[in-house]
Parts: sequence; C-alpha cells; structure tokens
Amino acid sequence: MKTGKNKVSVRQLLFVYTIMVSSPATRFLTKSSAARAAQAGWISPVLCIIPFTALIWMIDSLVKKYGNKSMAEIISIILGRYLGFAVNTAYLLWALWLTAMYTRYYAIRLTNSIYPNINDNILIILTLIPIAYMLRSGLTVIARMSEVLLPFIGAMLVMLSIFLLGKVRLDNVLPVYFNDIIPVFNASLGLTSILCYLFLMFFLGDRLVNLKSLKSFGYIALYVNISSLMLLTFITIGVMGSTVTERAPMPVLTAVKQISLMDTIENIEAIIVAIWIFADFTLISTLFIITLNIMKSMFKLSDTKPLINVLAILVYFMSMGISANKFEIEEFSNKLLMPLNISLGLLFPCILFILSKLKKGRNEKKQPILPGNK
Amino acid sequence: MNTLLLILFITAVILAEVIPLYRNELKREAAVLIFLGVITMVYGIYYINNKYTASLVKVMFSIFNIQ
Repeated sequence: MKTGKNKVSVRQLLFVYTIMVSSPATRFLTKSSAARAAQAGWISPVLCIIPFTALIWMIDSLVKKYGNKSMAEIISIILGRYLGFAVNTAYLLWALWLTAMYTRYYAIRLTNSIYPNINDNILIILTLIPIAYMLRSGLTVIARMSEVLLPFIGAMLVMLSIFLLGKVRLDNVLPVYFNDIIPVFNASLGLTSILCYLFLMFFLGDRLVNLKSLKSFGYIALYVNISSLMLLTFITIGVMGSTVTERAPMPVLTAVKQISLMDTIENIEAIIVAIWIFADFTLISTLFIITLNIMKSMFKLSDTKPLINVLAILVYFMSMGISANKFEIEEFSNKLLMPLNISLGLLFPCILFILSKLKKGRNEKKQPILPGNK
Repeated sequence: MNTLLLILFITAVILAEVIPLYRNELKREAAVLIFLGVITMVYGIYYINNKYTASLVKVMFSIFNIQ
C-alpha cells in the first residue's frame, strides 16, 4: 500500500498499535491475570475478543461515516462545538497522562532490570530527546519502523516460548473449571483496558489512508494480539506458577531468565529487554503524536512541530512528578487507570456510536421531501 | 537558583519556536505554544520546589476519592 507524505495506512497503524500494546500488556497482564484468576489466568485474553470486536466495529462505522477525519473532529461533529471541546480536552489530558505515565514506567522498568544504579531522570531525558527529534519526521517513521520490526518481535516471542515450553508444568495452568468464569472475566478487564488504546489511535484518523480495510486488518490485529498475549501468559504462569507470577516484580523477565539450552545458551533475557525498549519507545512516541494531533484538531493548528520541544519538557516534569515512588504508580494502574481506560476507550465510543446513529436518524427525518423523492 | 534556570530555559525554548511562527504570521500556533509553555513553567516550578513529595497520582486519588 503506497502512502503519501505524513500519511500511514491502516495496516501500518495496526502494526504500531500491536507493538504499543505489547509493552503495558507484558508488564501488567501476567501479574493481574495470575492475581485474579490464578491457574486459569492464561484464558483471560480470550474474553477480550468480544469488547475488542465491538470496538473495531464501532470505530469502523464512525470512520466510514465521517471519512478521513481525526476522532477529535468526529467528536466535535457529533457532540457539537462546546461539548465536543470539553470531551476532546478530557482525551487530551488522558493522552498526556498516559505519555507521562508510560515514560516513567519505562524508566522504572530499566532501573529494575538492567540499570539499577541509574537515576530515573537520566533515562527519561535520554528517551525524550530522541523521541522529540524523531517526531519532527512525523508518524511515518514510527509506522515504517514498526512494520519492519514487528515480525522480528513475533519471531522472538515464538522462539522464547519454544525454549520455555519444556519448563511449563501442567499443574500450574490446569485445572480450569466452570467456576473460573468470573475470575477469568475479572482478569480480562485488565487486558481490555489496555486494548482500548485502539480508540486513541484513531485520533490520528486524518493521517490514515485505506480506511476501507480497517475491519479486516482490525480483526487480524485482534487475532495476533490475543494469541500472542495468551501465549505469553500461558508460558509465564506455566513456568512459575500463579503465586510467584503474582508477586514477581517482572514475571516475564523472570521466566525468560530460566531459559537454558544444553547448559550453554543462557541469560538471553537481553532479547526481552531490547524488545521492551523498542516497544516503550513506540508507545511513548505514538502517544506523543496523538497528544499533538488532538491539540491540532482542537485549536485548528496548521502545524504542531513547534509544540514538540515544550511538550517534551512538560512530559519530563509530569513523568517525574507523577508519583513519589514506584508503588504509588502501580497502585494507580490497578485501582484507577483500568476503569478510566475502559470508560474513555470503550464506553465512550459506544455512546458516540449510538449518538452518531441517532443523529443520522434525526437528519434523515429532517430531510425535506422533494417532488422527485418517493 | 534552580527555578530561575528553569524559567530561563523554558523561555529560551519558547522564544526559539515563537519567533519563526510570528514571522510566518501563525498567531494561533504561537498562542497555543505560549499557553503550553506557561503550563510547563508553572508545573516545572512546582515540581522543582516539591521534588520528593510531588505526586499527581495522589491528586488523582483525592479527586476520585480513593484511599
């Protein structure tokens, strides 16, 4: 699919989305699934299929109706100027919050895994400078980078899973009874809250081409995301057991550390760390672009490049001041972020979809009956 | 001292971006940039003076009344 300057195809956007989602999902999903559904936690991604399919269907309907417009413009059209502005402000704050929060998480993850003696602020500065520099080239750079690297990430995941398969203990992942339906549903809410970021991606709708194929590529992205996350959860819980997974600071890394091939190839967790760094980089830069694009739509700006440096400084201060320590931010993710994500990423799109249908109905009623019309 | 340095730094960044905008008569962009710069400056000053206690998460918890 050929794309113009500063435009990306839906397929590329979903590549970015898949990488973007992998970072918070690997950090959060395994722990929350093990905590809420114990040995049945690995089934929880399956239950996300229903809300995610509905979300793709609703976004597809909105995008087809309103064409190549960003979601901020669609919200303004459906809700009107003032209410639309208020809702867009909420999305702007949400995107900004997520950018700052994931920047901080990125630093925490690196200090916990490979750089224990380095200050968070150094890592944050070292991330934000290349991001601010790269964003001047636009979304296309991130999209092409993701398009090239996603197959490698997928291959790495499969390879690590094969290496760990021998260490999976079936009594860690079985038995699964009907009694587990409620815990599995509760566990699936965590992943649903992360998959909801799909709605945020369509705030970049004015930069998309080939919108016709949104539904088909959306369902492929759904299949890829759900199956890879299910595999990851299965392997992690299967190797370490739900109790250890729940309590380990970074369960995926701990599981990968156990890989040993013929007692010669060991300590290959560097692969996981490299994937994390790339995924976090994609996540932060995409959220950064989304924030800028919402501002562009809200204030009708012709260019957002001049805002990049100041926004990067704001993100730096916000990420440092978001919480005094790691526990606060984790508590926030567990208690408040999940309902907030689901409200803004899943429930509000439902309301928007219903309103767009009602508006359509009202407009059709208001249409004057011309002599030629039957 | 840190506060003064921060103010100077952010002012320099804003000026570097605003001058070309005014030259190209992009006044709306300039206004948004200055507004964003002021927010950054205010929050930056707050953060520098409350480095070890600043917590937006606590603010959110108090807004949503979560213990």
